[in-house]
Amino acid sequence: MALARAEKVAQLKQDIHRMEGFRPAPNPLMNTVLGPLEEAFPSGAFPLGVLHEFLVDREHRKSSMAASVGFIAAMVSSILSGNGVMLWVSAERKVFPPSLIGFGVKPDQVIFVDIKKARNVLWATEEALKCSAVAVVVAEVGGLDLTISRRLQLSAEQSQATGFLIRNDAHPGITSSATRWRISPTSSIQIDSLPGVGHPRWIVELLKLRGGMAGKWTIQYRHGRFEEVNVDELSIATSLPQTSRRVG
Amino acid sequence: MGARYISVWFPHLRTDWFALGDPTFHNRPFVLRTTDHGRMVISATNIHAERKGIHKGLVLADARAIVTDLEAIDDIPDISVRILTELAQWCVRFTPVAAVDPDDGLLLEVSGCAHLWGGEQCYMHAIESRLNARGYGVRLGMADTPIVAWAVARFETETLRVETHQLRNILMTLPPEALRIETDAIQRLHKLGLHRIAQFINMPRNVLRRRFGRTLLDQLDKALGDQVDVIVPVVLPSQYIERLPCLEPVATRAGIEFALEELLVALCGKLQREQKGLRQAVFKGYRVDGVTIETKIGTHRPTHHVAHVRKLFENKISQLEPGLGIELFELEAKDIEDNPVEQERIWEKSSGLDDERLNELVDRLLDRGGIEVSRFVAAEHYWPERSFKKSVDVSESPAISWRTDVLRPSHLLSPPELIDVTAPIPDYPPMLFVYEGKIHRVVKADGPERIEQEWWLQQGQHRDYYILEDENGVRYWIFRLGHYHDSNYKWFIHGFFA
Repeated sequence: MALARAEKVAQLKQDIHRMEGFRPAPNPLMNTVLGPLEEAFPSGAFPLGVLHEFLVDREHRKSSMAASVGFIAAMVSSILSGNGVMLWVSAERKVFPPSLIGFGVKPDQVIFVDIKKARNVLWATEEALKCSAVAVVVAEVGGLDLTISRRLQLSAEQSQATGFLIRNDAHPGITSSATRWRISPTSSIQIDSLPGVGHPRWIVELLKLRGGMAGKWTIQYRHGRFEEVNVDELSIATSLPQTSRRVG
Repeated sequence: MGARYISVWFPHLRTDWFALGDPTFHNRPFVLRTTDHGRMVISATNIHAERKGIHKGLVLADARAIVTDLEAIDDIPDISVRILTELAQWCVRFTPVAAVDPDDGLLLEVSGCAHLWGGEQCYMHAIESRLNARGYGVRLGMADTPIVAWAVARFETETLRVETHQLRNILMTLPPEALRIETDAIQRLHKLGLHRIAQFINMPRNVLRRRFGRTLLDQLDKALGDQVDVIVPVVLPSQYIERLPCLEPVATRAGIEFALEELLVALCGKLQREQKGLRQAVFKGYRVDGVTIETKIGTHRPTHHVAHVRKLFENKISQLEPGLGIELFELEAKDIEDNPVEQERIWEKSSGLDDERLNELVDRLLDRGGIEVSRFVAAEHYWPERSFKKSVDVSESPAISWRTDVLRPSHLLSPPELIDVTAPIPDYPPMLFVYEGKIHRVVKADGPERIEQEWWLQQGQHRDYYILEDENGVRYWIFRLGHYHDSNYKWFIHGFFA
């Protein structure tokens, strides 16, 4: 009897998660990309059809943007597998399309929507999220509040498009997005202490997760997936190599 | 049923037009004047002047002797054709084929139009009264051939409709001028006492040809319908055009939306049956006061989807000013392209870039204005700024694949920004650099990767790119423009790696 009840509770918990947008990952690739981040999500699935927020460090805007773009592209690569379409909505686009190929996203799968007036960005983002032919919408937005994020969230739920919002606001405030992240670049390591710059490496802070635990990881992106990095290893990075490698 | 034509004659076209601009001319005699060999000659008269015996060609001074207070305005050359073209375009509400018939008339092909107005009599009455209401005195003639219609309008004393069986009889009563032949042939006919067509219509053809030329015979044949008369309509009727005349002028948004919906359903249905799609659509409203208002939309890909086109027009309807009301709506599809109807693919959730819904989204975004939608494909260039190009349309398949052998920054600065760099020896990466007022000490570095100028596109020096990482773990893309040995080399920062 007690067993049956426990089973039922587990079942109900899963139902709640599903209603909140945490569907079991539709493609198995998704979880292979996630690597160590997988444990944070209930039932190990990265939620689709919801909003994900990325905070940008105001002081180091450019490097912070670059890191967020890389992290998002790596995440998106598995959602887009096949012929999915991604929209990139921004008022001042700085992303360099050929760089996306390094994170497994073919730049020709991305439609860039460049908007002259910043106030049209949210409108375009909502329109894009409403379209069920779009798998992923990445938007560089400002002025997001609870009402607007709720609208965007509803659009995303309806069409099952996943939204990645890179936020330019100074104060994040309360929004209805499923997750909130901050990605900052950190020193890379070459294996076997080879000289030169290593694989992209970030400090990933999961500040908020609906129905899950927040967390902080140092990960690197290698061979199409995230890998956890031992913090001990980081100490090596402080030693300054005096040599440089010549290529090309 | 054979073809039917209406000829509209404006006996006082130009004076009526001048009177429209100045209502004080309505009730008094006035004429238009031109100079001819140093004299002022009357080139057109209004109806009041004509009643007092003033006619075209009279010297102005003589006319002033008859009517002392005669007003005279300078004539504008070639104005008739302009007025007539405008009137012919306006006449599109009565028939799609309206032609200018110089110097003072219009020719309308009205086959199959009259029943919409409840018969030919009512139709002619409608045209006449509407033109009168616009301020033009007209006389109409309707017949099976353009020539007879033309002649009837001008040589009968009032508007007349010629039934098919009357054609020959009516023609016979008309003077030879009715055949629109050259003046000396007409003069010769009159000289011989042939004042009516009846007097020579039955003469042997070879006799007529010998004495009066080939044209007379041709015109006779055309008048009787044995030869086809070609008319050139002023507005070339498009195949994909729908019209909706309104009984009452429409001035409300709801009314306009209803009209648009009706026209869209008809037009898109037609396009779908023929497996075509429109790239541009123009929605026109002909207002009661003679102004034509229009708005147009463009689509990214050919479409015949009613809901989609309606959505594009939705924002534009508010730009239309109905004024006192719109009496005729017209929706025309332009840039028609093939658009085969696709089988519904229910088993496929999304068909990527070819998805119809995606195109509709793109159209909606573009329609808003101030939004640019682009998709990039790889280009065959090493120079970073040229390594990709905008694709022609959303679903163009890339000709070459992307380069995967080089690392490129996620965040590109355009243009590259000048920085101060300390670098040890030639070709070694920098030790530190100053960017935005901060000193960045370089911890790790890769490079250089030399990218040469594409001299066939642009002159200048090559770039040596380095990937650098500073003590904070931020990765940069930095290049040196030119050789280290040259004194004028510069360092730039070009981007940030993820």
